[in-house]
Order: sequence, then structure tokens, then C-alpha cells
Amino acid sequence: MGKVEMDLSAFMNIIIMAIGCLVVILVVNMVIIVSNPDNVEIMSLVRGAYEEYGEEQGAYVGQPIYANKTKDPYYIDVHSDRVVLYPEVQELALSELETKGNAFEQRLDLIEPMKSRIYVILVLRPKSSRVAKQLRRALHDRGIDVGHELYEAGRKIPELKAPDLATIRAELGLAAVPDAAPAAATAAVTNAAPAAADSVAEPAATPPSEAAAQ
Amino acid sequence: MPKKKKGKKAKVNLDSFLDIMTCLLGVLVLIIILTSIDASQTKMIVPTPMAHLSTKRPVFVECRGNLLYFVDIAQIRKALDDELARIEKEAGGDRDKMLQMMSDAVLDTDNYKLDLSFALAGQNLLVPKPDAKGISLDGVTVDTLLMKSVQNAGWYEKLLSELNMAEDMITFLVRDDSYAIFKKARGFAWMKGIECSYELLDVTDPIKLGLGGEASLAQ
Repeated sequence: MGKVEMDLSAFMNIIIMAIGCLVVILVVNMVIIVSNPDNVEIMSLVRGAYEEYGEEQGAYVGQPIYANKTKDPYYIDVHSDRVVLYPEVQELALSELETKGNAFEQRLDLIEPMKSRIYVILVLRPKSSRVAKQLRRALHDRGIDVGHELYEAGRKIPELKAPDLATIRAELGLAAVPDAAPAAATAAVTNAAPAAADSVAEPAATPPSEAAAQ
Repeated sequence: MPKKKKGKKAKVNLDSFLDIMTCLLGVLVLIIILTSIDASQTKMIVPTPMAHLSTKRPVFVECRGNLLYFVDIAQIRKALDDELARIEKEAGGDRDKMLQMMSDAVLDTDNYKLDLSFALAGQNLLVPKPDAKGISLDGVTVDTLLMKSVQNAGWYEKLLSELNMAEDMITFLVRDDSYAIFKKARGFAWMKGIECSYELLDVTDPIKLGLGGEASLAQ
């Protein structure tokens, strides 16, 4: 029987082109992965240096020069008469801040062991300078990093996600906090470390208008 | 004429090479599937602001009544030194008289009145003058910011061009009523690569600079 010969050179060309395409896709995937090796997601409320009020859907221009890309933020909305803890949208009157073991202190107790990965952004509303100064002092006393942003009085804060505590605690080798009962967990942390900040309860010793000394 | 001999065409057997290529194709497909799963879980990082201590020299700009005012520290210091020298000379070594004169003295600069009674405590207390002339950035929009142009912004435009981004930073003293102009001014500064810090002040609070204050954290 005669040998059947097939010319496969055309098929080979197709395979070579397909390999070329696949290599391109592979390179794109690798670039995406390499650009964020830790697979970190940062929840950002403040997206630009200049955000036109009322244009929440766009108009974000510029970014902070020394912006953070490694720590996840908890947001605290600071008003003149209250603070609001996010993402739970838990309101605290100023009088509540003066009681020991309040929700703000519980939040700090929760963050403190993870302060290398979590920090706090204070969203400052008009007339909130005195309250903000006290909160900042409390955060500073705990060594927790802080960011701040000025937010107009009526401007709404969009829905925010809490940092992934389970992952962060696992990475830092800390005992897991059950997700189902965050309040109980934070209370437990608070009880474990009762030497908490009294600094929020302190009256403002200095007026808030002190700016930087040179 | 002699007939030209028909040469035999050399044939290369590409079967093995084709097998290798096909295997490579399969392996690549598998790798792409795996990397795609990983890449699809990667979230976009949007940076968030974080304050940090800066060693740069602060240049103070006040945002009040949706206008910008330059806090000219050099001018204020010079006026303070001149006044202290005058008081010292007039008091003629009388300490009580000197203290009395200092507590009564109020210096006038372009935009601020300087209360000398705080100078003994190492502080400069600046009270804004109601007739001071600030500049507005009303013409500034997202488009002008995107174009990175700072035009018709008076001394602020000049200030941004003169600052050394390696050594200077702008500290905004922001009143409650001036968030809008602060954000525009900060936008311009960041566009020019200049670091900023900001302090929120109540509308009626005086500005205190000097001992007892906290360093303004840049971000």
C-alpha cells in the first residue's frame, strides 16, 4: 500500500499563531498578578485631590502624593456633636465618647493589634475640629496611623466595606475573631485589654486651632 | 537539446515538531486558565490618604470665606522682632513695663493682627483682619485641573511655581466655610507635586503658631 502523505505546514502556522496569542494573554495575566501580589483591596472613600461636590459619580482629579496602598482603612465620620463608625453606621453622641468601653474604644482595641495593616481615616465635617482633635489624640496614643479628609456637611458617605479581619489576623498570626459576632469579639478584646484610652474622655486641654510649630 | 533533469524536492518531516507545538499549546491553555482565575480575583487598589510626619518647611495658607490668604511667616517674624526691639528700647530695662507694653501691643501685617501677649509663651497668635483681601479660585474646574494649569490665581500661582517640592510643603489652615476652595487649592498643589497638610479650624478661632502646638501631618 502506498504511504499517504499530508501537508501539515498550514496547520502548523495556525498553531504558531495560536501560541502567540496565548503568550500575549499570559503576559497580561502575569502583569495583573505581579502588580498586586498580595491581592490587596483598599476601600477608598477619597479618590481624588479635588472632588466636585455633587459629582460623586466622577470628577476625581489627582491623588494624594503619599497615598497609602498597604493598609486597609476604617472610616470614622466626625461631626460637631457626634461620631459615626463605619461600615456599621453606628452613631455615638459626644457624651458616649466620655464613657469607658464605648464603641469607639472598642474599635481602637480591635484595630490596635492589627495596626500594621489597618488604620483609621477621619472624615471631618464642618465644626468638627475639637472632636477631631480628641479622636486624633486617642489614635496617636495607641500608635494607630490616621488619615483625614474634609467632607462637606451634607455629603453622603457611600456604602463601605470593613477590612477583611479574618485574613489580616491570620497573616499576623493572631487568634481568629468570629465574623458572626463582631460586637462580642470586640467586647472580648476590650475586656482582655482594659488599660484602654482615657484620652477621649479628657477635656480638650488646648484649643484646636494650634497649627504646626516650625 | 538535452533534457533538464528534474531535481528531487527535499522533504522535511515536521510531524514531531508539530507534536511538540500542540503539547505546548495545551500547556499554555492550562497556565492561562490558572493565571486568569488568579488575575480575576485581583482587585484594583485605590490609594487612601494617610498622614505622616514631614520634615519639609511648612508654608501656611489660610482658607477663609472661600478665599485664600497667605500667612506670610517671614513678614510676621520681622514685624515681631522689630516691635520687640522697640519695646525693649522704650522700656529701658524695666521688666514690668516691658511686659505691660507687650501685653498691650498688637501688630498689623497685611492679612493678620499679631497679638504680642502670647509671644512670652513662645506663640504667635494671629487674628485675621476683616479687611484683608484674599483670592478666589472660582474659575477652577475639573477641566482646568486636568490641564494642570493654574491661571488667574494671583499670588497662589506664583507661590506654587516658587516652592521647592523637595524642601517645602503647604499647610492649609481650613475654616469650616471653605472646604471648596481648599480642595481646589490642594488639587493644584498635588498636581504640581507639592506635599500638603491641613488643619481644620472653626470660623472664629485665631491661628496659633509656635510652642504647644502639634506638628501638622502631611498626606
